[in-house]
Amino acid sequence: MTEKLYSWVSRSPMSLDQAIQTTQAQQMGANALLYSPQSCDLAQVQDGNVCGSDGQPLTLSHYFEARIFNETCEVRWLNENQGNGFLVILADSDLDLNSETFSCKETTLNSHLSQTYLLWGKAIRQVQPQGGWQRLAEARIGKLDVPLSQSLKKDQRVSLQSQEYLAEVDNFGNVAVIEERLVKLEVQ
Amino acid sequence: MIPFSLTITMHSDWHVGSGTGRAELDSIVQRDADDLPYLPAKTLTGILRDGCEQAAQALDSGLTGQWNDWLKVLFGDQPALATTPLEHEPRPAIVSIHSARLDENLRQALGQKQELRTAIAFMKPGVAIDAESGCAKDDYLRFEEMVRQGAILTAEAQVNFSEAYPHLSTDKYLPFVQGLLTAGAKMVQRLGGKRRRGNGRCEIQLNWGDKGDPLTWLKDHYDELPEIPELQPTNCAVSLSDNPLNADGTWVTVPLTVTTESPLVLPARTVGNLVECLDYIPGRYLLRYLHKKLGDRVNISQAIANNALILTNATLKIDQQPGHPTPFCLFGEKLDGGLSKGRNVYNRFQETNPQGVQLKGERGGYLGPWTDNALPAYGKVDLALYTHNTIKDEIQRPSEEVGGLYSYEAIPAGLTFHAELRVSAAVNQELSKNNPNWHDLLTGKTRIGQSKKDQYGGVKITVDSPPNPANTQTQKIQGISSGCPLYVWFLSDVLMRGDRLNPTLNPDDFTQALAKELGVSLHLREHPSCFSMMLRQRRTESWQVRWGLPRPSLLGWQAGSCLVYTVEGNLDPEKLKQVAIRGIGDRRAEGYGQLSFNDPLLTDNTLSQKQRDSELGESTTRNPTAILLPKNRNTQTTNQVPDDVFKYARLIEKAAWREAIQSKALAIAQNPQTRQEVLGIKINGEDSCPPMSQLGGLRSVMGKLRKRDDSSAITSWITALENVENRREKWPGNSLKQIKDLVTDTHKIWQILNLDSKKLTLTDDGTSKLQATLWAEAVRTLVDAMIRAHKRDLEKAQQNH
Repeated sequence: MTEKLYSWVSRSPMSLDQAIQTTQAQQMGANALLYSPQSCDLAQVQDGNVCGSDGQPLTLSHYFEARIFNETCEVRWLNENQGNGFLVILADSDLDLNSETFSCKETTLNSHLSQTYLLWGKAIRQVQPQGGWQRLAEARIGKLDVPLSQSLKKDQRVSLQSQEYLAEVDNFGNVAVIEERLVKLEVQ
Repeated sequence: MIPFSLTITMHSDWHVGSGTGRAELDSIVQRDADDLPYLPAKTLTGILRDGCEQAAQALDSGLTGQWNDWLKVLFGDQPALATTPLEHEPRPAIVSIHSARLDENLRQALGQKQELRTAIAFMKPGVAIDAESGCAKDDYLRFEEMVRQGAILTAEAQVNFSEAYPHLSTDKYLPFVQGLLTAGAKMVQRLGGKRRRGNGRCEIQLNWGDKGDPLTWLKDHYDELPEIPELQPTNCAVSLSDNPLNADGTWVTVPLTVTTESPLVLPARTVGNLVECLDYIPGRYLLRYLHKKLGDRVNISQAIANNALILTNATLKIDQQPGHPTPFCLFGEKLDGGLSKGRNVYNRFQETNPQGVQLKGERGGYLGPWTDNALPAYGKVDLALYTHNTIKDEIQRPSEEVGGLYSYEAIPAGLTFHAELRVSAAVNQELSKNNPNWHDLLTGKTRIGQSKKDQYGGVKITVDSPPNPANTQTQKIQGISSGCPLYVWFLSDVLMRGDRLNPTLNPDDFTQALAKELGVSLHLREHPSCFSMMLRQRRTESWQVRWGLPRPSLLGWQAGSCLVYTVEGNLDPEKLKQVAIRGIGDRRAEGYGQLSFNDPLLTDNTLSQKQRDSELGESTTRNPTAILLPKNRNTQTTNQVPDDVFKYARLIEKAAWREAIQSKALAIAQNPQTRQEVLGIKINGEDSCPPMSQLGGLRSVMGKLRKRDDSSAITSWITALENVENRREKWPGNSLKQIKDLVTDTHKIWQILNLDSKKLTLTDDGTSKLQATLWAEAVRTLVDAMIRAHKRDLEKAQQNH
């Protein structure tokens, strides 16, 4: 069976705040990986709000790159100029997005692979920082709060699941990983 | 920042090993860029931490307590030793200790004299004893290098609260820090290898200036120690939507020279326990310095976010300019060519593959500016390798559990790199508001890279000339009309994003992005026998210090990649200049994305006929003027050195003279003619004249020659010989007189040995003093060597008959 990767690119640049409002329907139970010069944060996205482990909304104008992901799709945003940048959505199936806002591209795939990144730190015994969050710790980096509803036992680890997409990259039939989509955080 | 210094006096021979051997030596001592032994900062910090641990345990009466906690504030946490996950991030050290070196005058003097640099250390043999037999084990003979005792080394150090605890009251906390450090230094008695076998006995003294005795203070106040402070990381949050600084208008360029003062570890990747190093200084390493120097005048983070500030990578200085990474389109003849040899280099963008000659692609190294009739100068950074270890406290040895042995590749000290700071008109205006000469603020020193706290990372930054609006690299760019070629050379790594915001390594994505910036269509040039695209990929893994986490992998094209396009449409030279100065792709503020267009090196079609006129580099010959160290006689002459340093210089000299006497005596003794001229001894057929029994007598009596006055014992022996006819006849010709002259005329031995005293002398009256001290030893050595050589030759002569 031939698989397809769907990607949508916004027709005009927008701020991260606008990007989150525009893609609210795609963010059911999504987590976000946010990069700023000060920190690299994991966050929870719900009803158009991006919240940290303390439950407070984050100041989005500080971030220069965002990857918001759930099991259906990944939303990407990258600052290009003065806090504005293009918005990209990746999914395995057609999300039927508004063609006035987005231009769609379909890529034919050979197959896909499931991959796992192990997060730094082990679970520690502690008071929960907030509902739906767990705390990992490691001497080398300190604490790392991750948005995860599953409870963790002591010394358990958390992994970030991703999907790699394989497609032909030239006229000679060579196949390579052309894209990677973050999927979910999971207890390992 | 509170500076202080350490003085380390070595009371016994010492060995801080480099982890390697050389020739007959199994273990050599670590030497610095001057080829002189030193105490590496990591050794010093480790041993001082160990001393402070003992002091803290004594003050707390145990392994835990406030003093033990303060130890972690002083020297930082040790995450590698943690047995459980910890919620707080590791504390950085506030104490920073640099490597300890010999006296500056002594180092300068030794720098010119190889023989003396060698004599500072000696070879010490050792065996392993079999526990059962009590005898030396087979195959266990080893030779270790040892540095001579008596050395006095000094190290610079600082206590710096401001980075991690900016709001801390230094007056309140500093005395406790001084007290613990001074007490810790008192606890240190030995350092370096084999310190439980008598080596490395030392005394460390901390010099705090005129601030009283920290130990006396500690004695009175040790129970008033305050709580350890909370870490206070600096806030560098920046709002991307604010836009006071933009990237429009004319750009201003400030040329920077970066000189390495200590080795630099700029990690490229880690392979096992080896940290590999880059051969250039990425712009990102100097951004922190910019924040410090210019941060109060302009919001640097904002300027970076708006792409209004670029700091290019610092590359090796070649002909007063930043070296350009070797383009991959250059190929050298495999057997007799290449950039390093300066001949037979082909530009495969313009020249076809020569028949019958095997070519090899040029990789690595940097090129100087183009000269029409010759190959450009070529330079490479020869990385040094330093091995360290982590000591496990319980066993006091390196152990795999805590890290064991590890090595750092490093850019050596003393190299010069060039970079450029480029700022937009808006940033320049902001900087010039209060001070039009803002670029002067950039001159200074900083520490960058891995392990910058101690041994590595010291750099000096200077501004070569005032900011200028035109960039030297882009001045020559001409407009390109439709159908003409455009040569693109990547001067740094280039990071691009594809249409899904993914890192891309597809050349088409680069072509599209460049065409969009230039406002023309670009097509890869089609050529039947030459290349048009030479791209290599590079993956960069790095650690983000502010995040305290690793940074996502950066995938991009490597510096040195190059392409040739055919332009469709008229290309505006102004647009080319803009791309050349602003760069292309991601992370341009950090030095990525720098391009050069239509460089004459890439467009040259007769490169293979060109040669390099002269070798690269400035003259590295040292100043031939010999420096002699005068003894301190309490006068105001600046060149004078303290008595201890003078004494150590004399010790090294003496060792060098002894070595020279021995080797010269052996060389002279080999020649039968010289033996006859000096001692009057010779071989007749298979007979010795005088007989060996007489020479045995001479050797025996020579053994008593310990000082000048002892010569009378030998003259008496000769007189006694002369009085007995039977014995006198055995000595041919004037031999007895010659021996008498040798032991009575104090100049004769030095005339025979003819040592090069300039090479061997370090102190101003060294030659005369050492000639007096070593006279008897020199005579004994020469006579002994001659008799031995005479005996060997005699045995050969007897065998031949």
